[in-house]
Amino acid sequence: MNPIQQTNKNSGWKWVLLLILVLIAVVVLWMKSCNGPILDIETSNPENKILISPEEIRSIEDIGQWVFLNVESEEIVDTTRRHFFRSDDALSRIYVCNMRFGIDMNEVKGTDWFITSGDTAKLALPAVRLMDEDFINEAKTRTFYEVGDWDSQALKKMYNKARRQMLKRNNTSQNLKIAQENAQHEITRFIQSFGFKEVEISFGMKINNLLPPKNHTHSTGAMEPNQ
Amino acid sequence: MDKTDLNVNFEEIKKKRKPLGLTFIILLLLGILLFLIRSCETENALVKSSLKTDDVELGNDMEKLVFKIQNCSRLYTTEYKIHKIVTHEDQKVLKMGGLKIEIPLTDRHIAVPMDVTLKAYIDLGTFSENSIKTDGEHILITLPDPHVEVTSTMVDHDNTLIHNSFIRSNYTAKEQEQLHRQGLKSITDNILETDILENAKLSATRTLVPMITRMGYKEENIRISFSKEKFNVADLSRLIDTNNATSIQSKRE
Repeated sequence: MNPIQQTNKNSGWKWVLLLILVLIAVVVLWMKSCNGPILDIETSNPENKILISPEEIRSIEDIGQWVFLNVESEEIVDTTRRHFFRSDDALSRIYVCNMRFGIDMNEVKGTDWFITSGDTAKLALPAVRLMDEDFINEAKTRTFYEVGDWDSQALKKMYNKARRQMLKRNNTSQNLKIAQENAQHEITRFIQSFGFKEVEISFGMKINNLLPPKNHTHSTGAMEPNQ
Repeated sequence: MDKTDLNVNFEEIKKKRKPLGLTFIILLLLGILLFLIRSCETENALVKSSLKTDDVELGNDMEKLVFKIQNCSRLYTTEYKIHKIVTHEDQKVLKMGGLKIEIPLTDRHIAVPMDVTLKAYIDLGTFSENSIKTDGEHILITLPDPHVEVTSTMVDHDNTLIHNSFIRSNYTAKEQEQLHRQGLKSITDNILETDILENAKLSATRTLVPMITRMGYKEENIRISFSKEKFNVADLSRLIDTNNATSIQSKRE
């Protein structure tokens, strides 16, 4: 290549470089004219909108659950995953439950559970028990400490752990006894509203062997301790 | 070696260095971009919004643990099991002034199936002799308005689908619980579109009529009415228990 061609080639590159610098300057001035940072990274969904499928009603069921005791509680569940070469992962969550104790009126269908004689009403009702197998409101769970990456299976294990703790804490003979006493009181009041003076109520006998097999409690409106 | 040969050699060396320098600059810019994207992951708007609604410190969380035992007399008459799929997606966007460019390989998606159980109940705690009118043969019972309560929500963790590209971090537990809450809210907002309240009334009738017939009344002489026959949006807020707490006392208009 002769010296003249070499010189032309060098000056061509200089013009290209100058053009690029001018373009960059124009872009920078334009971005500066907009309020806000020149360069920013944000999400395409800044309002975190979710898409929700149409409601699918999977079942509609007539139930006859007469609830006499409501136990609302929260349970802290935590878990740790140890690592050898780095700090441990940890996750702590608070689960919310609402446990209902009462009787299922569907269990007395087809039986002579309600007998009247003059102004006396006699009722043979099923045992007071926990009404729902599912009592945790998982949508209200709160995470207050999280370190590391936790997948869906880890969350499922924590849910099951919370459920076991809640059952252990709340599904006790003491709560069942409280529920039955309130059932005695409320059902008596309800039946007496219809004009009956004497109300005799017997409950099923499977409350942690708390009561003898045939327990008849006679009520005249005031609560009496179980015999 | 004369001066011309040296210049030629120097020019050859410069030519080889140019592509190397350009490659280095491009890799440096990509690295900076990658760093910016990852550094924005730790506290994004989804988590910030959750902090706004639940901005409690660890100490306050312990104090807020609730344990309530409440005596009640509620007849739950209808149960609805509702299935919903909540999805969320986002992608990182490079914003330069007013220009937005979607950054490839920065998207993430999640689909969460949820099962919600709604139950409608009649609060018999206020039931008394005043709720009954009878002439010995006919009987009219007035019951309070049915209430609707979310008794449980369950996330199907086994069928939760998550996809995120390698440079995005996974959905955290806090982010997922925000999605669960939004899903639950969408269900409670649309309760009026279901006929759960009407079914609650019918089911209460089916539960109580057999009991009243055993008291000596004929089925055709039993009438059960409720405080209000039709509900509108204004009634909804007082009839839905959204906080799993005590029942809301209905107010007679």
